[in-house]
Amino acid sequence: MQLQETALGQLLVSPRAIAQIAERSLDECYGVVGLGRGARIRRAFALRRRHGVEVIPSEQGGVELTLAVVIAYGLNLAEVAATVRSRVSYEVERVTGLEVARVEVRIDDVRSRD
Amino acid sequence: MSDLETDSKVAGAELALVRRLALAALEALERERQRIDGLNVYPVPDGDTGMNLVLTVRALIEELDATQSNGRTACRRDFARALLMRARGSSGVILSQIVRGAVEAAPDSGPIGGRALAAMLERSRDAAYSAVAKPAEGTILTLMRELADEARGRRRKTMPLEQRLDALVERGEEALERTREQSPMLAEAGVVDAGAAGLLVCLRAIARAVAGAPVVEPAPALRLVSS
Repeated sequence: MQLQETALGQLLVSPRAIAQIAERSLDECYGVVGLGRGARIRRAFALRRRHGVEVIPSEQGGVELTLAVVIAYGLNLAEVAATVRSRVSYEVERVTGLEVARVEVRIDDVRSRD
Repeated sequence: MSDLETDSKVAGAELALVRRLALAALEALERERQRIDGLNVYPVPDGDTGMNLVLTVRALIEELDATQSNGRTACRRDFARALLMRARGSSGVILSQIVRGAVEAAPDSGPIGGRALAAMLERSRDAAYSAVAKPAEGTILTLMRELADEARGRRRKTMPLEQRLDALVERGEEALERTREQSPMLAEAGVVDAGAAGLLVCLRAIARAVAGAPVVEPAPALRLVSS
């Protein structure tokens, strides 16, 4: 995917790299205790899925992310999903400069750790 | 009086005490909300940490008012669950975990001594850390861990609760100041962590209320509109 076009050439970033960035920020998201196994029905256009993260280029030159996560039991799932969405899209936009057009959060499981 | 009646009476007294401390925390958070919002650069600089904490503590008080004092065990369990459902934002969710831990580990009767306080804060810390895969340093979690360490270190000393809480506040202030250097993003922005600052605001208010400072009943609806 193209980040910049300069006179000397273009700067490209792979969906895999974007998935890596998303995954790292997911690890620090409060409420997320693990990553899911990815979509059960694989999307035909999925370029790369690293564990729970799927990255698809959007039509406007940005990306769409699908995050499959495992959330701690007992927490408000909607609230955790909302913070996951804002955290991951902020981090991906900050690091790559790409617009995150859409973030789908899929909760694969809830798990108790204490 | 039957055991059941005694139990629900004790539960009622416990609710009233927790409510008073929560009100003190709410009043302090509302006063410092803008300062806390302004510190919010991590994890997403959206300046809502203070507001999330205010809304979470407000929900806590509403849940306390809705909880029936029909026995301590049921009362504590219902309250902790309800609070987790109503928490707002990351910092609110973590605060609700901290409260849940403390409520679960609170002694069934008698005054809160050194061991009980340490047990409560250690359970708070464990509950807070239980819901994150890779805890970042320099956050509300770091502050909670230091508070639990402080309480543990003093658990065998004989001292009044007020003095214990003062020691916790002092340790909390040092720990909060250290968050400035613990996270690269905070260091870059030159601020302390917003969530940790909010937790310390709550702790300081609770310490003052325990020491006998008066607690005023706020007018929630009006405050919310004007903010």
